[in-house]
Amino acid sequence: MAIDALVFVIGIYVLALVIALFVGVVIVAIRRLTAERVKVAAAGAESSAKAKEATT
Amino acid sequence: MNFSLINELPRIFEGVSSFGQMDVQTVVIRLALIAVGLALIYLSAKEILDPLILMPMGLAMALVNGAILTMDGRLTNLFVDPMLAKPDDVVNSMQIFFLQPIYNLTFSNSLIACLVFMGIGVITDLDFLIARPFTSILIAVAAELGSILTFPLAVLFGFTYKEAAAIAIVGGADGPMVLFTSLELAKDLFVPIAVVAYVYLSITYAVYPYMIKLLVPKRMQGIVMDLRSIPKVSSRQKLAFAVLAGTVLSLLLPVAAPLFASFFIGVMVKEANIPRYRKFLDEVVLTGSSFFLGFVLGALLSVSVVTDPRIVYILILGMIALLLSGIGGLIAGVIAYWLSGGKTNPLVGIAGVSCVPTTAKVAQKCAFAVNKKAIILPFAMGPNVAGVITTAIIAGIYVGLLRGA
Repeated sequence: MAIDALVFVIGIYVLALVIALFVGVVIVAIRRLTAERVKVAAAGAESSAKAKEATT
Repeated sequence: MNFSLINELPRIFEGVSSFGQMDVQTVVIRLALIAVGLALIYLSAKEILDPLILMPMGLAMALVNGAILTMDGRLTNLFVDPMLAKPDDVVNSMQIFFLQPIYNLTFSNSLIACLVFMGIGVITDLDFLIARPFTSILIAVAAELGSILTFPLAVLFGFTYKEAAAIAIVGGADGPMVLFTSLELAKDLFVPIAVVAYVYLSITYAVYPYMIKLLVPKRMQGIVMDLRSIPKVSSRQKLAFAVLAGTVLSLLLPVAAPLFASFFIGVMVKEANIPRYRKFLDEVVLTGSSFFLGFVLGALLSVSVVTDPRIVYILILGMIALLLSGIGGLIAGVIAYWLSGGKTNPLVGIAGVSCVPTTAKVAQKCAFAVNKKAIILPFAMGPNVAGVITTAIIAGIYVGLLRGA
């Protein structure tokens, strides 16, 4: 009975690991997306500054 | 009316005379519970144990076991009766037992666990978890060893799968999670499991340093970690994490959604920087729920409720669960040390045991004792917070699988 319980609980451990790693993937995705947005915003600011410089 | 005061003394001092209506074993348990309550107050006042929960718990324990009287022909108290099941009895009891409304409206439905979790969310620092997600998560998963291996041990001791899961989750070292799981899966054992968990959680601060000294070589304990290596994490990123992780986890494990919702709303309030809500959740909700948690748990430990002899097994299994989780976390910490080429202090592993922020503070305290320049608290907070999430995941899986069994 304890062996059955051990097998049962190892399955739960593996499932918990997979879900936890999925949370890690979500975090990495958020970091990538926000980093992209920062880059785009920085590039936008740079080009608008250049445009402003050209008009003056 | 002809009263003889001497003859009426047993009716006046019912707390004392009730000893005469009990068998010897019950008298011994009652006196032991009063003594344990007084010991909890003493140890909390000395700050050997955490006074926030254990001091009100100790007082309630001592008082509830002193104030036993006869009502409707049975021995009871005027604090709370957790054994009532019929709706009529519950409603009537609210007119008699002064803690009954709090028990029925906040304990029976796990609201108290959720309120504590909201408070934990608002004091949680997510920086290192978001900066180093996989390191934090893998350490936290390793530090769940107790929540996993205690399960078959409890089955070996004769507990059912539901009861075994409720006991095993003590290894997650997360009070609200223990309350939630035991209320969902083993309501009969809720009181002993919750009390054992909270008493043990408060002594982790005293026990884990010895485990660290025993298992981790001293030269590794004082390793200095470079604070500049933590990338900056914006509030917006943390806010996005709270919303997305909360949604995804609730989608995957709906049974644990109240816990996820409570934790992540706390995080959201912190990261959205809403000072009034932040102050409310920290100073009112967390403080108030911790106080009533301790006081009601103590009042539940009445001799008429604690009659299950299996409490001895729960004491043993609870200790095994926390020790296994600590060992798992430290093994993961040592592996992280080797994989990082000696740049990671292995003590961050103990913080994977998710007693926020106690175990992270234990890691910092032990590192500082060896090397005054070792600041590892910000790194330890990553596995610490990840531990909250992994314990919630395991609790959610246990409850989801076993609730209908």
